[in-house]
Amino acid sequence: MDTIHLKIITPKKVVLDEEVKTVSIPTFRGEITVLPHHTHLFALLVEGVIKIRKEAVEDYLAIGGGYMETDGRELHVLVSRAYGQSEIDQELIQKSIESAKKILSQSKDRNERIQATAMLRRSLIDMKLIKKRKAPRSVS
Amino acid sequence: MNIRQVRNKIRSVSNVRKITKAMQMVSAIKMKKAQQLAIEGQPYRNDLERIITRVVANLDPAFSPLLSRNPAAKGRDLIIFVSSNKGLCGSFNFNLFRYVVKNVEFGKTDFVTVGKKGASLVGKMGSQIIADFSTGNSVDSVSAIFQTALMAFLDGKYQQVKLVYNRFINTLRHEPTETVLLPVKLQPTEEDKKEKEINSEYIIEPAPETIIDSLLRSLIEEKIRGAVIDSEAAEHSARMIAMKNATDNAGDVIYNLTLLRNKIRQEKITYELLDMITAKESVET
Repeated sequence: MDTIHLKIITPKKVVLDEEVKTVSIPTFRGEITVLPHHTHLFALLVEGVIKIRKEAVEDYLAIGGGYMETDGRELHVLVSRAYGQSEIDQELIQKSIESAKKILSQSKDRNERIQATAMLRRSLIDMKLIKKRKAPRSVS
Repeated sequence: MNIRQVRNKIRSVSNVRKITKAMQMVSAIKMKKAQQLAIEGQPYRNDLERIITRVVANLDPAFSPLLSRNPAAKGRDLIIFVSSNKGLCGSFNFNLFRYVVKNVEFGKTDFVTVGKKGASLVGKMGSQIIADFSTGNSVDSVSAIFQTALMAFLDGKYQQVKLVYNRFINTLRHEPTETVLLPVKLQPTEEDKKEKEINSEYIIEPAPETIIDSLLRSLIEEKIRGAVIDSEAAEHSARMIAMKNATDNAGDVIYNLTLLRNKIRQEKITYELLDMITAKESVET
């Protein structure tokens, strides 16, 4: 079976470095799925959830914005942040969603609102990631 | 030297040793953190540069003002100079300063400084500092440094923006490094050149013209961040080594002084004995 070498790198560390079968990534123009032997591609990424499929296991990672590049054999994903389901806490996210909404409904300061919007967007993505976990992890 | 002086000396040297030992431990911990940051961030910066080199290779430099010299620029350069805030770090600042003094024309250059030591050198050499980012966490002020440099370059004040810092190699080694940030010059590697011949089709989404500017900006910012992190790792490593040497030397000094003290004490005892014996013999005869 053909595989593609996936590398997910953030400014802090290399998050993932392994052979996988397919990767679905949220780009600037919508979600794309990269398979082995993909044509050369460079794309701008937006915040969202990456879906990685190995043999029979699916894995999800929440990412910040960044870039991806592939040549069919290797897929490099450079993002501002990336973490898996085990690294986030549902309660904390719920709290941050609430506080972001509160700020948005009350504050009139422009900077504060921008920050709160960004926080809300990030938290919603994290929530999405948590919900994915409830889906069956192995696919036959 | 009499015995009391020697004793005082030993006491003061062992106090010094305690201090340098403590500083060594503190630096060792900071060094570990800084080195980890420097090493783990490396793949991101390398990859970013590699990818951008590939993208830019297929492009016309006219798309971005960052790729060529500003025609309005006069003959001045801007240097972002990364040094340390504190001393007691061995040859860390000294080597960097020697390099700068040797290679930079101070009359034609303005500076953005990170680190008090560097700022004071630039002041002594009589160059102008357009901005100083010594206070606060230097990693946090990277975007501000970048904005300052970028604005100055785009305004046509400078024909080149360079970055001078201590590159971290390993705990024992660091070397002064100079890189040109603006205008951006990217050298495709051999491998990339070959690949380009085989496969010239390279899809870039969205259109390269629209993203090249922001790509280059993030590349430069990342380079500055890398330099600051590297410099910090090198600084703590240099300080750790310097303090370790100081501690070892203090140990040697204490050893020699202790020998001297014992010798003086023994001499004194011998003289006293001699005195007593001569006195006794003179009484008996």
